[in-house]
Amino acid sequence: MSWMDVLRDSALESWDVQPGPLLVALLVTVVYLRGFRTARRSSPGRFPRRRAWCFVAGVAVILCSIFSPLDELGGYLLSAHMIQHLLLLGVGPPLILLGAPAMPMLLGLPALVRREWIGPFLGSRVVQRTFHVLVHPVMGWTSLVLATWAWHVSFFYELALVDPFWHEVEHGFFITTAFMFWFPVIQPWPSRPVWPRSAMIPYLLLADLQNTVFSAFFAFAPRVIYPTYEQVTPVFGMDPLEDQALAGAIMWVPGSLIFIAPIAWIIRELIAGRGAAAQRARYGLAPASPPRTISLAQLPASRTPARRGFDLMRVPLLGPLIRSRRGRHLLRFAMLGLALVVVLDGFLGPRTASMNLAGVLPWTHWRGIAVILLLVGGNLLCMACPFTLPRTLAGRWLPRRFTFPRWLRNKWLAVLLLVCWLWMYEVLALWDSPSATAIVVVGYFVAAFLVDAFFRGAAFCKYVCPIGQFHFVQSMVSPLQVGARDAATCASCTTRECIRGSDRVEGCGTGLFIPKKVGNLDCTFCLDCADACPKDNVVIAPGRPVDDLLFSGWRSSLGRLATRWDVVALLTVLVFGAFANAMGMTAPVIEWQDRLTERLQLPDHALVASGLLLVELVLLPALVLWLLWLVVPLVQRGPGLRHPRRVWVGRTVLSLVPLGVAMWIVHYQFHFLTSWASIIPVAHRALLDVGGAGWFGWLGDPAWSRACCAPPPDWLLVFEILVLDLGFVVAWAVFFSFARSAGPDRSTGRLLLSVLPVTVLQLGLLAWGFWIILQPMQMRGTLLL
Amino acid sequence: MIRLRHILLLACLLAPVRGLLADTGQLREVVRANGLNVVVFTAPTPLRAGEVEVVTLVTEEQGGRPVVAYELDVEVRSPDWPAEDPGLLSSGMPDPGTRYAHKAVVVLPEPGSWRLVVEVRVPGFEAVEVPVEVVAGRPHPLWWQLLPWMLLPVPCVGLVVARDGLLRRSRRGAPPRAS
Repeated sequence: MSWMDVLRDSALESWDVQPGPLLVALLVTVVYLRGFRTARRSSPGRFPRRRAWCFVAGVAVILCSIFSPLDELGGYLLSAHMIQHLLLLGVGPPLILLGAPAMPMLLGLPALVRREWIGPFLGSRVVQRTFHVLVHPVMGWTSLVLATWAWHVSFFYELALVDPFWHEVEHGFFITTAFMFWFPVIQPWPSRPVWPRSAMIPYLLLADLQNTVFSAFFAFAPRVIYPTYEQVTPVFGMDPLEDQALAGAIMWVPGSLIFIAPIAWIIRELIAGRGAAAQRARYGLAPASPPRTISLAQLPASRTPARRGFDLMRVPLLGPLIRSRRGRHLLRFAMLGLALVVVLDGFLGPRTASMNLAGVLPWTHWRGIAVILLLVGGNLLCMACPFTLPRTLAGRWLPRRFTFPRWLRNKWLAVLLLVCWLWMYEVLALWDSPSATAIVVVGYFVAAFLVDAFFRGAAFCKYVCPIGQFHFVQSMVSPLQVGARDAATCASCTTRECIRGSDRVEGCGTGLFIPKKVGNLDCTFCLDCADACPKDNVVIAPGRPVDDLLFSGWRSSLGRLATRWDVVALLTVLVFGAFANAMGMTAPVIEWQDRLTERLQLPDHALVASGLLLVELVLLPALVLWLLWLVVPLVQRGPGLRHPRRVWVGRTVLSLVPLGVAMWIVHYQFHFLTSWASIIPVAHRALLDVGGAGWFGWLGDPAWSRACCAPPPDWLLVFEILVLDLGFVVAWAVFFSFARSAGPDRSTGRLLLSVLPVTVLQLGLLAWGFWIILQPMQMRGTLLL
Repeated sequence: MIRLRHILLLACLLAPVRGLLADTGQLREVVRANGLNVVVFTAPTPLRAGEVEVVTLVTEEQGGRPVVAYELDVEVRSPDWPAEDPGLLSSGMPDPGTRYAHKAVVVLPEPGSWRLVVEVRVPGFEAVEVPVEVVAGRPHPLWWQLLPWMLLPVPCVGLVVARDGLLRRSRRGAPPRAS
């Protein structure tokens, strides 16, 4: 096989599917199709099915032109590159516009986003005027022509050939200007034409004329225009000049067709008298021309009856499982089985963490899955927690006569244990010591049993459990919450079984009263309240996103979060702990610890690591909060914004929660995505240990090369940056929203100045996160000799 | 009392763990040959093209005593290179960060599959050769290449501010609410 064949085959096989654009395209298509269903229900004549097909085809064409071998071949053949450009300029965008995307896209978005985020912009005159300027025929025509010619100037074309970034910028230009160009031609509903329909004929003819000149330039050029094509290996046996002539021909013939076909269609419309008026008559629409801009009032109302809200307990399969007490116990016993496996392998298996289930299951898989589940499904993990089984046993066997001491009924003990947990993890390298992991799991069961054997309610979960506190705080950004289906039913309830309990079931162990409960803090999703409620009025339903962080009023069993120093301390430790925990695995920090340990002539790095943790978890947050405390009077100068310092500082810490969550996600997903396959050889090894070669010898030897850490996929770093970006934006928006509610009359500029100190703090955390993910990850291990 | 006993027991069990830390990296291969156990680790984890540390830990098969004095050589080869071409060679030395391990720093020139041939020579034993297949990812991009992604919050914050301004303007234009 010659080099040429190899090159050709590899180019043809190179479908380079990038997850980012693919995800965006899928999301846009799902939103469109969701909205299209609603739009079609209310106006079937205006939204025939072919519109949806056109839209989907347009998205598919754009994706194919970017992901298919055309993209790779474009580096070797100008003709392939020109086909790609034709698809981006003349096929994908017009197909999408034929799908009349404006209304379906709006209807497909959640009502909250549509009303509160899109609405203000759609109603803005500046936005409307800008849009009209952009889609004006003169602007559309000029933009497309300029973009086409400019990007084919040798300098810019070569730049896009050698640098993928500029290649993407080039594609962005083509797609944007193509939308602008084709908008007046297709005039998607509900836009109104600026020029008469017949004016589109010279519009397209002129575009075709410039395309002809452009194509002829390539077809008849006596020399190769782009030097790169002279240097690369020829493909399909074509020399560069032949390839250039073919590129010119492609632009000339199919390129002209792209402009001529719509002209033919418009002439047909005009001759047959089937212009806009005829269309309206055909579909029985109002004779008035559609409004020039889209407003929310235009959105057709759905004809379907109002749906009952989503309730996780009504979801098929999962719903019946979690509604039933036995089903929830089943989940807990399954988790108990996993915990037992971890403990047994931790004590009896190999001492190298990456070969042991206790080194892999909890620290790679459970954590990676947990952070995503907490985000998506609320605190479902606490529902399946095996450590609650001792409480159930204790409730049956022991009197549980004491109430938890009053002075411990706060988060201070949990904060202390959380700091201990992070210290143990870092200094004792828990994640790399299977036996230590097993000891911690056993210790956890013992502690849970002892606390719940003596004290009523769910004292362990509410006041002691560090993992539970982690779950509570992470799930504060989740939309799913346990709450009341109908507030009126709760208002008329006098028995209050959800908190007092009934003959069969105890009420809420953490003291949350469903009608007054806000958010996920302290809610273990145990659903005792649902079992106790005689009116079946408890649901697991989505609330407004991050409402938990925005709410400033009184909460059942918790009071006002911003004024509770113990809660503020808990949130601070978890936010700064996220960064400290992730920083501990970066090479520069490990090297610095080693050097300092050596310089101080210490026996090991425990003291240095402890000192670093003390700075990260206690001193740095204390310094930051103290500085904030000092600047609060300065930022509150002027009218409005009168809040006690304590509330201002408390709200600042609450606003940092999304950034902390983002950092935990980035850290744990890094381990999970790079090491998920490690479970295969480790489970294989465990099977061989248990059953011996006699039972499982046919499996062969474990594939230890999978035991840890495949090379990270290229998109992982960008994914991590995006998660941190999102965490920052939500954190900033939460605090900005608080400041706005505190000073509704302040000008936007003054308000921005008021939130500046908090913005600086959030930016500092964001920069810290960026620094961490850009470092080489050592994840150096423990070896137990 | 029971709890106190458990805490004491936990403390006793945890205490020895601290002294057994070793700085090694990702486990790649465990080989028993010529009376020796050779364990090979690589760092950083996950592996990327560029400088890579290959760390070895050698113990005697009989008795499991760690071997402190030995020579370590690592040869880097690509599966695409002709067999007669020499690989990239690097010698190891005792790893200052650990008590028993030796470390060699090798360079993986580019992303892809590489074969590391680790040779350990212990006085009094025959040399042990451990071939290790590794896959190196692309080196980290430079931070400024990621700047467009890092600056994404700027337009998002701009949108939040613009929305706030628009809402304030619409509120100002709206008729006063009846109290």
